[in-house]
Formats: sequence, structure tokens, C-alpha cells
Amino acid sequence: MRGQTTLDFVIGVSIFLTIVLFTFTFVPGILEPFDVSEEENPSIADRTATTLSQDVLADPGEPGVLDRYCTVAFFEAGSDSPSDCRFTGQTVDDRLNVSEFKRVNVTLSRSDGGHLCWTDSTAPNGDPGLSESCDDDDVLLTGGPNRPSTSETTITARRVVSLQDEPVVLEVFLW
Amino acid sequence: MVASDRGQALTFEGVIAGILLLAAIGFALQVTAVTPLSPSTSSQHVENQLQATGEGVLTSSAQTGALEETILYWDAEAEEGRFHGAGDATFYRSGPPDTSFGDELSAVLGSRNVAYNVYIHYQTAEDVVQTQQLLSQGRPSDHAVSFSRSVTLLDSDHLVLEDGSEGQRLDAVDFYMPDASTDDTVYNLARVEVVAWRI
Repeated sequence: MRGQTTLDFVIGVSIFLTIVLFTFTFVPGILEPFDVSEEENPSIADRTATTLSQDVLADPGEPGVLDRYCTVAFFEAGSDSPSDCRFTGQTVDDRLNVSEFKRVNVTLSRSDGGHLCWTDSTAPNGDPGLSESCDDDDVLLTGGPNRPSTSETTITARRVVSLQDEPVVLEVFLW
Repeated sequence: MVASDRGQALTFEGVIAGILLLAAIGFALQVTAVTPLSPSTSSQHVENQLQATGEGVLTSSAQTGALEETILYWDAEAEEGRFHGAGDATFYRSGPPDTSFGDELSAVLGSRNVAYNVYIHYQTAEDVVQTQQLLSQGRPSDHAVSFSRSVTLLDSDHLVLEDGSEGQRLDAVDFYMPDASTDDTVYNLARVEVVAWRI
């Protein structure tokens, strides 16, 4: 009769160990949606948006009000940066000066619409201004690689800035 | 006989220990409600964004004059005075006023499931700060953020009529804030405060 004890012991211990293993794999998963995989990304996105909206594209004396000339030049890739703007480099990535392991997309849009362009002649009176219908001559107010599909974790920083006396949304995507 | 009784107790012990562990997890899940609004690194980031976005709305509205227009969107003709289109109350309760500042607030905050209250703080002649509520959407939650911006009103400013046109001069009408300045150029210094929280 004493021989049964070993078998009982094995069953008891294996049930217990299975549950312990289950617990240790299950508990960290509960908090996973609230975990940021790369801790520095929110800070980088936030600092980038702040720098752009208060210093690089705007006059530091009047934060949030973008300088029209420097803003358009910032998104115009492939040409040298103007000397009187506070950025250097030929592409938006160079001008942002973020680590090469991060990808950053910067986009200006209206709060209810899609991409914005800077065009030399807007529809009603032919003045230079912002437009939502873009053609080849216009400067698309977005820079950096295209935003990734939904499967990747991205961090977004959002600012409302004033450009050409109009409130527009500046979004910085980082992944 | 004693030996076989003892043998059965071992399986029992395993099962009971397991139930205890699972019960502990269940209890821990029940007492701590982890929701998308719980504080964490990512929700702190969302609050920072909300604050920075709101400050941007105030900055750009102040730059275009829309903020001042909303402060002056006051119906002095109505009994006891109220904001244009506010219904029976002095201030707005259902949505922001029909001004470009109100439209911008609802486009940037309202469309992102954010509720907000707007207050206008002003000074009285006795250097006391008083508050006129502009918009009320309820009681702010614990993780609300606040942002504000000051606007100087001049004696030569005019009230804004319901259709957006110019009304009477400030020093000639019954306005909710008094002329707090003794000189004849500055009328009062108003601080517009927005308290916003996610819902």
C-alpha cells in the first residue's frame, strides 16, 4: 500500500508546478498593453514636437507661431537649408537630427483634414498659401519615411500651431 | 491503512496549493482595476500631449484674435447678461460657443474624446480675481490638465454681436467684468483657462 505514495506525490507536485508555470507566464501578459517597449520613444517624440513648434520652425519669442518661410523650406527635401533658419542639412531626417535607429515622420494637417501643401497660388485669388489639393509644383508639408502599418508600435506627439494665421496640427510619428 | 490515507493527501495538497495560487491572481485582478485611464508611462505621455495641444490652441487663437472675440461674445441686452446663444444659463453647457475659438476647441479636443471646461478669470477694481465660466461639460477627473493664456482688453474694444459684427464699446455697456484699470486705455486683464480631461 505504501507504494502508491510515490505516484500520488508525482501527481500532486506536477499539478502544483503546472499552475505555478501558468501563473508566471500569465501575469506579465496582463500589463502588456500598458507597457511601452522602448522607454525613450515618448520623450524623443515629445521633445521633437516641442523643438519644432517652439524653436526650429517658430520664433522662440513667439512659440507656436510658425515662420512661413522656414517651415516650407524645412519640408523641401533635396535643397540646402536657408542660412537664416535654425536647421541644417538636405533632408528632413538630417534637419531633425534624431538617432539613425529611429524613424520619424513629421506632418502638418488641418484638424479635420488630410495632408496640407504649400502652393504658390491658391484657388480664389492666386496668393501663396495652404491648400489641401496638391500638384507637382507644391511643397507637401510632410517629411520622413511614410507612416508604418498598424501592426507596429508608434508614438505620436501632437501640437497645434499657427501657420499663415490658421491653426494647423503638427504631428510627429516615431517608431 | 494509515499509509494509504497519507498517500491521498499528497494529491490534495497539490490541488489545494494550485487553487490558492489562482485565487490570489483572481483577487489581485479584482482589487486593481487596470483600465486605459490608469496611470502609466504611456498615459502620462497622452496627458502631456493633451496639455501641449491645448496650449497650441490658445496660442494660435490668441494670435488670430479669436480668443478675444470669444471673451467679448457677450449679450449685454439680455436680462442679467449672458453669452450669445447660451440658452437659459449665463454660460454654455452643451458645446463650445459658435466662434472660431469654439470651433477650434471642438475640432482639436472634442473630436478626440476630450471633455473640457473653459473659465475666464478677470480682476475687479479691488485687485480681487473673479471667475466667469464660459463652458461647462462636467466635473474634471483626477487626471485633468489645465492650460491658460492672458488677454489684455482695452477700453476701445467692442462687444461682439451674435453674427460676429462689432457691438458697443466696452466702457459703454454692462459687461461681466468691470473696468479694473484707472487709466483710460486698458480695461482689464483676462486669463482664459481651459481644463481638459479624457472621457
